Amino acid sequence: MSLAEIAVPEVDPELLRSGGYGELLARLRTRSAVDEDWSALVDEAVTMWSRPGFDTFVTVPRLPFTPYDYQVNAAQTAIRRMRGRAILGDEVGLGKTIEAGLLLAELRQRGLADKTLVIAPAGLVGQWREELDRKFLLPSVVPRLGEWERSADRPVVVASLAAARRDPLRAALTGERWDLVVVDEAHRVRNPRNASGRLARALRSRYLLLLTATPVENRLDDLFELVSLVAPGLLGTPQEFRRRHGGAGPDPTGTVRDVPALQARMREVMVRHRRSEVSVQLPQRLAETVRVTPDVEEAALYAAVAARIREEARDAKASTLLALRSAARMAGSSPVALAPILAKLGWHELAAAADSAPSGKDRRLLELLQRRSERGEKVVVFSAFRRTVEHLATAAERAGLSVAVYHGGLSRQAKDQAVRDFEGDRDVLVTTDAAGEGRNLQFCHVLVNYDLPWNPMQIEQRLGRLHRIGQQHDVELTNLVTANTIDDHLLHVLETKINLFELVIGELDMILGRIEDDLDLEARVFTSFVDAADDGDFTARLAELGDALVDARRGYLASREATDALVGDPA
Amino acid sequence: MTAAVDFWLRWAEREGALHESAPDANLVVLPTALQDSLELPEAVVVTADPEVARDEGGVLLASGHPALDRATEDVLRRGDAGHVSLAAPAATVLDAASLLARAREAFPVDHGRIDPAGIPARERVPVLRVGAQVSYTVGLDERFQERAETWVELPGRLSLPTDTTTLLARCPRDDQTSPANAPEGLTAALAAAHERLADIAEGRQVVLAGDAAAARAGEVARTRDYYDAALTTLDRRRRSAAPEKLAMLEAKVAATRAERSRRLDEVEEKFRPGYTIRPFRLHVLWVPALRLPCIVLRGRREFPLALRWLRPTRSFLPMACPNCGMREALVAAKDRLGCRRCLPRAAVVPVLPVPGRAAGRTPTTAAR
Repeated sequence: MSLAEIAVPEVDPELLRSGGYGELLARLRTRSAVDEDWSALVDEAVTMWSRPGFDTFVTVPRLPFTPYDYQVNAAQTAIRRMRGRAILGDEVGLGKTIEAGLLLAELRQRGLADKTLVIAPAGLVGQWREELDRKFLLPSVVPRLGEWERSADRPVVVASLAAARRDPLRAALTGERWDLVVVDEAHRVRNPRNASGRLARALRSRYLLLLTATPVENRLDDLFELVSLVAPGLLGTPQEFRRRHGGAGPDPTGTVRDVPALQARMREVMVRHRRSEVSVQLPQRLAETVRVTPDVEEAALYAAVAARIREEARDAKASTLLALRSAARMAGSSPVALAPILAKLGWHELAAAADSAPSGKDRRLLELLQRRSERGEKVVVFSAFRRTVEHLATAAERAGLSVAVYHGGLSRQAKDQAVRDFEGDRDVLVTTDAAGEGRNLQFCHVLVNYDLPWNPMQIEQRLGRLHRIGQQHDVELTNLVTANTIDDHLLHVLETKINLFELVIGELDMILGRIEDDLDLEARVFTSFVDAADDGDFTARLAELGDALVDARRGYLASREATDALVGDPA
Repeated sequence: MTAAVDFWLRWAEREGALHESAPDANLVVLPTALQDSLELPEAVVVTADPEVARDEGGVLLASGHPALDRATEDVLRRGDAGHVSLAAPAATVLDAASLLARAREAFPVDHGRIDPAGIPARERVPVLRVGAQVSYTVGLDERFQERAETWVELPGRLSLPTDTTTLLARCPRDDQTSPANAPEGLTAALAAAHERLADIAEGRQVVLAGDAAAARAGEVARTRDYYDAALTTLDRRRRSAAPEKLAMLEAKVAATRAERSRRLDEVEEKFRPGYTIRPFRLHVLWVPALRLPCIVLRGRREFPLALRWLRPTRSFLPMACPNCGMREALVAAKDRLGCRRCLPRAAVVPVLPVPGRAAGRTPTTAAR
């Protein structure tokens, strides 16, 4: 038998027809030479297209930050062991968002998550979008009136739970077949009978991530419901589960049977890291509040403005209420910031008074800046309002300090330059909350809140710019507040009731969310103010809010303990 | 500039785009065809920096962006085909005696000996290089793509060992020489290469599917039990329910059944195995070689044989059994040249005791 007679395997004709080898073979027959540049381009395309097994996360080297090993491990465990349906249950502040983002980016990179939905509390929607955008280079879209731009440019839909559980958005979201659904603060969807729980159960998705630091609230059944969302049957039927572990009672830990078996089951579906188990040590936060007594003129102005706001708000339309709320916040910032809105409201006399009124906080701020400057310490001064920022920058420069200014009205280049200047030779960066978004200022460790956002999550964001990985010093925070203002009362509640400034990142949201889903604290404070008969009544109302915060914090801590007891060791 | 942006710009340039690069952004002017296919305007800023993209309204060209995917897809769809002539090494060509010695060392023949049958002649041996992407799917946690490559020499359709292909890949080109003709046996060599790629993928998939089988069975069983129990409970409630509640319970049963079926489908989908081979490269490399005409001698019997010495790698092309095509050590039988695998034992003559050997030991394979 000659070689030619030996059976030759045939190329599948379909492979040739369908363009597999056909076109390439045809080109070979033309005897054309290899184009080396093109070959190199093909090699790069292959590299970009290749995705090895999930033991290698192809996206990690391409991200603009370096995640912690435990975060990558959590994402890998969720993909490999839990096959993309998992509960990410790290303690607050350890980066469940990062873990979910890693998994999302990886699935997307591999073509497995073209359609992704993130459901988060309304207050976290912006934060999710920022994290996805800046950390994972994944632009997102927020649905409006049940519609969203279905563009591959914006591969992730981020919706608030409040909007998602109601039509028309609910119908639109449940009508879609998603590749991946991420539910942040997923303890809010554990009840299958409420609107949020029904929404979570109606969504169709191949992969599902539930993010919650407290999967167990009041009853062991809470855990059963959450687990049954990601892996129906893993804990058996409800009857079997109760028979094995008990669970309907009010104390989730006291009556549980066979905890080791439950913990073993949970490890199949849940990843949980505790702060004590991972080597993430952030420096301390040291907070002080400086209550500034206003001089007579300033106090009179504030009292007049507050009274006028309360009076006008009682019969105001929604749009006017919004303007009044802004005025109330600006009054807590500085007279300079306040003047234009007073003029806009037609309160010209007050506007004129504001234009010329002094601010006691200015003097205290300049003293503090001088002191820090002499020690060679840089300071970031935050204000919510651009006019205040400009006013403070001018005042600081007049006092001989070198100042960089940052606000949302600057071009990107000017913003970059401001941060570079501050990192270089400037003593002070005076900035609006625009610098709270995505700017790393951890080369500085002193922060001043010249005014106080009424939304504590915003306070946390300001702090987060300095109090983050890479910070070498304890972060020193000074809150400047004018005595007997709304800000003063609110700050008192936040400090005394929940120790706001020393909470771990993320805990604040856990506490606020327990008072009410999507609690709008700013609106609550303003309503309390305008509804109150007088300042005494307002203080009493804030005290009630403070009590609710205390209860919420207690509930959160109990829930954390229950979770630790039931879920046990990390996966 | 990231690798992704660099890749995209080079691709776009080949498609007729012009670009001006700055450190953090690139202004690109696209021809009409690209504007249409990418759904981008004529002038566009592309960048890998999200902040630049946001502030300047540019396109953030990161993994997963459709413009990048389209470029990758286009490059891979067109693939890479062509001929390459490799340069002969400057080193002196081995003389015939040395070649013969190396041939005898590389290809030992039972019952026979390789002898020269002519003088070595220079030639170019075509070698087919096939590159492909293999996508495996064995459930979610074993879903990945790999690059696979195989090199097959055209005369014998045998795959080349890795050390040889590594050297060939590094070998400089000879741009002065172009192939006179398309090589013969190209389709057959391609079939052999494809079979080799399929063998690799098949073997891999069997292992992967085996690993996932237990997990799949467990998940299916758990899901069934869960929903069956839910349906049993609903059925019990339905039987004893007040008439006004029947419709609600019926609806619940229907919803639970639908959910059960959907979930079971999802589980099946999650574990469905498969692989696809997508070729992206066919190169024919013309490798400078020496053809060594030989015979295998067994007594007075002669069996012709041609060996090829690859000059860049200083190694012989692998050789298949001329009788069965297998890659086995050769055996010279009485009537033909074969290999240990294909020649029946009867064709191999038992060895007679060699004088001087210890009596009573009879080797099972012959030598005379």
